[in-house]
Amino acid sequence: MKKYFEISKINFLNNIVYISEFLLRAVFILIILFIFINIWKAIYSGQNLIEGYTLAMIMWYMLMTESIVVSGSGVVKEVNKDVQSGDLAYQLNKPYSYIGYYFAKSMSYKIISFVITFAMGSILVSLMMGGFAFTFSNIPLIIIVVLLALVLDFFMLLCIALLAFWMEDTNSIKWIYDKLLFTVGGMLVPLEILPKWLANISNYLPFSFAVYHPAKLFVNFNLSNFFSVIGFQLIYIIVFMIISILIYKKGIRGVNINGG
Amino acid sequence: MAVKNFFKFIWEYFKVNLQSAMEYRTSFIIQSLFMILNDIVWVIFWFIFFNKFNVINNWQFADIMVMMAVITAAWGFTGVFFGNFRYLASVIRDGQLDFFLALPKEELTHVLISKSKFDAFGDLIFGVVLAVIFIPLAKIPLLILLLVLSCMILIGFAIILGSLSFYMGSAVETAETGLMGVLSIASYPFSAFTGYTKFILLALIPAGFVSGIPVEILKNFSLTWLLLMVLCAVVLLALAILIFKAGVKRYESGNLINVRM
Repeated sequence: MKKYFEISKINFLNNIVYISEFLLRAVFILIILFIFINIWKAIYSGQNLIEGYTLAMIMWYMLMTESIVVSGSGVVKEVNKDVQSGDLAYQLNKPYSYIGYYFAKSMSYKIISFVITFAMGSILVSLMMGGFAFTFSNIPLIIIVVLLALVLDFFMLLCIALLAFWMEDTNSIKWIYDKLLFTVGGMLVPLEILPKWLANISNYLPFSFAVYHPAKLFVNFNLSNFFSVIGFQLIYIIVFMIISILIYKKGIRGVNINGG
Repeated sequence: MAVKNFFKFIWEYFKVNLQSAMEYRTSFIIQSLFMILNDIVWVIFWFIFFNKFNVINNWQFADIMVMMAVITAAWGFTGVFFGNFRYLASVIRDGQLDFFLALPKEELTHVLISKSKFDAFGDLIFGVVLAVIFIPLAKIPLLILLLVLSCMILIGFAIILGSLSFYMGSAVETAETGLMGVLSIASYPFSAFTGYTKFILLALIPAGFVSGIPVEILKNFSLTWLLLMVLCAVVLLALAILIFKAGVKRYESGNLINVRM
């Protein structure tokens, strides 16, 4: 366990060196948030509540969803590169698990990215909305849900990344995954805005437990929903972890390493 | 004659770029198709959004479709014919400008047209199809004029942002973020912006002219706004060329050996 913590620490320090990359990405998210604040302001004119959300709640919701989704991770690109370039051979004889290595590396990246985007976005949203639309005392519980959301996102991405054993380019699958997070995941709008039938299905899909549910809890906390969301997140994390291990084991059996 | 040669130069380079794309046919088709799919996802999103809310400050679903036609066609056209517009900052930073400076052709045009983006073909096709569906035939000549102006504004922005590399050392990420910011503003309903924000997006960072104003002109023709758009496109592009040329004077070769494939 200690070695994975060290991997996380080293990558954390590496990422801090390239802090400008995170800051610029956060600036881009600020532009998107600014656009959406204007769009929602126009929609809310004359209304206080839409589908149970006030304007301020919608904007804090969006800040949370954008911060989770933009935290990303280079795992799809990196595994693709490992398989195509043959670097995988060097990884296999190292004294750590390949999946564990990417988990430690990705999580440090995702946490830094999330914190920077969320912190910068908070300034914009609180200034433009004139305050906060969440309860500070719930923050420790929200941190748990967000961390689980980032872990779930990682394992879903890892399943896509490991398809590189059979596919030449997995970026196209990643692209479809991103679009699912945008729409049925609830990144662009809360699921309540979608048609009822689609919202009902999306509500139980893993994508919404990575994006929609954490953001909804953030602006509208409810203890029973909190436990239910955590339960679903843990189930989906275990499911995708098992799938990724199975894909990895099957994939690695087909690898031929010739000389060096 | 000079103008004819200029367009012939662009056309010949486009043919070479297209031949090169055909060498990677599968990749070309996949990237174009994925870009079309990406655009279709946005159409579905806006359909659902407007099904719920009907109108955003006088803009309805059809207006958003016209906006999407304008921005995808303009972004696609720019990417197909001036594909290096997004990479100018890295061309300057990496010392790749040496190659273009050593040749007799005008270097800025040469840099911009020396690449064609595969996914941009998808955007261009999608934009044209959407325009045919949502814009009346009689307005197509006006649309073409507006698209030319939109492309000029996009290229102007890209040159200014890319030229920052002359002054900052590396402006790759800044230029990319800036250009994506302009694209984002142009990809959402401009009617949402009012007051000071609208003024800033028209007068200071004229991103509103990329797609917002074209949609308004196509909806309700206004000669004043058309002339303002012409002025914006010409001034921005001229300013961009001046900044680039001033930058070239500061440019120092990195003596980097590049292989152009």
